Amino acid sequence: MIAHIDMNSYFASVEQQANPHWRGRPLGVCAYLHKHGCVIAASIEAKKRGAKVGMSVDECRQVCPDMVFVQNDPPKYRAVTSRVFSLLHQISDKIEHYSIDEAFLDLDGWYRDEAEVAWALCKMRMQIQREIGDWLKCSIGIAPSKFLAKLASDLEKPNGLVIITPENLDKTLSTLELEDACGIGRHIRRRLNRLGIYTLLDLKHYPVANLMRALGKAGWTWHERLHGRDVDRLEVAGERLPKSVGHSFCVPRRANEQGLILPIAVRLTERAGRRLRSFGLFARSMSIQVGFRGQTQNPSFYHPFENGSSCSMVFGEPVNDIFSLTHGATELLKSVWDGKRQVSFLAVTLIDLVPPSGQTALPLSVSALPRHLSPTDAGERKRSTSYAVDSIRDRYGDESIVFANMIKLGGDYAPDRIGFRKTEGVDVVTPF
Amino acid sequence: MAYQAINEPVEVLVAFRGHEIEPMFFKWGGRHYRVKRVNLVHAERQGREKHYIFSVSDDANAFRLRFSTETLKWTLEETASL
Repeated sequence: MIAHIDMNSYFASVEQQANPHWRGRPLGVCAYLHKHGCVIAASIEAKKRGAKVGMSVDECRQVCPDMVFVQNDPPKYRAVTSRVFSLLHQISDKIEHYSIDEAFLDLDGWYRDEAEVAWALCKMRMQIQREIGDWLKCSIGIAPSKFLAKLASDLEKPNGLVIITPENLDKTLSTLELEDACGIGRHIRRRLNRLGIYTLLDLKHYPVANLMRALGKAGWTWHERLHGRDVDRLEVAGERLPKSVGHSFCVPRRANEQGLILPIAVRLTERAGRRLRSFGLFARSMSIQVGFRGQTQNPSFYHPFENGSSCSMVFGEPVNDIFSLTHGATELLKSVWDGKRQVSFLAVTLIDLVPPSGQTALPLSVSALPRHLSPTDAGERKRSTSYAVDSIRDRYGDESIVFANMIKLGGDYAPDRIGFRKTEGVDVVTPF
Repeated sequence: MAYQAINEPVEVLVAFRGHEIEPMFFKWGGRHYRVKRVNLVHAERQGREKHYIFSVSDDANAFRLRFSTETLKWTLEETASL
């Protein structure tokens, strides 16, 4: 039996919890407090009045003129998530921290039936409201599989509790459209519509062989999911390592005027590198994305750029030290930016991550090194210097030691950001 | 009614109740403020320093008080008025 816990309008609810005068009012949490800043969370009241996540501040003001906007506060959300997840860990030992505001609990062996699970989770929800904040609401979904548990928690918001059992599965699916399922978007819906499938129940009863002919392996996966069989493995907290590590920043005009593009790129690289080292991983490749002002396409991480403003490189051997990463980022930036165009967006991503191999590097290239240093020594020195710098930052703060060109860089350039699927930095107290 | 940055040291009278710490009054700018509600408590780290942030309110204002475990000092960080 799997349960899915989804905190409702999470960032906005935490802000309303911190400031009771905002409760009951439309509130938007923004990445940047600017008219073009994106609203990353809207309160329940704001959603009722038409404001949606992803709208800009200006667009929200048009649909909801009295909406209040606040800048996001990542440490606050992480701290609240830590407390919520710590409570969840009292219920089960197998928990997947799915995102900053969602978790899956494997409750097999802990409770006899769905009623007991519902009772325990309702008690836990009351405990969240009593110990952390009375304004925090969460939806609970209980089902035989991960997919159905998530589907169930989406059915009743806010503060809902839905149980899907084999007995009520068909009835539940018949009321849902295809796009209500996590993983079915516009394109897949169109393909399914062409097959005469319009609801999730239609999809469930469609012959699996025909579905596989249309969608490939995904057809089988959807068939199994809708029959309540668990094909999505629960990834217990701490077991999952990231596939990539990156940071991005929407660059304001003043940063261009002050010549801060390179320092911003270095800061983004440093942040990514620090997280990479904290996982104990090395990167084989790195990519940089640069958006320019006046470019027709919306500069966003998920939309590739035109005009060759995205570039990647492969390191000779996997690296995680500050010097190799910043050197790589600087070279990549030079290759896509002439130093004159106005930059509007910067993103640095470390990809193809691998654990340390323990292999000694072969001395294949010595030309760039001082005579007394072999490549192995140089690599070791870079790594040990990087870990020493990390120790200094752990003790005195992130900005206690920086590259000289970052001295003029204020804290508002490329600050700490919250990622919805990022649960690192969320420390959990576990009783097991 | 957005937050306004203050960042000034304040004197705070605190109650220790069981496992919880609850700011009761604080003095800022020559005025005494009575805390009606502690809405949220969370911790942040700046290097080794651990800070506790108390989001508190009275009938008309919301405040953000920061307590540094390194310097043992209280700071009024932000305030928002109705």
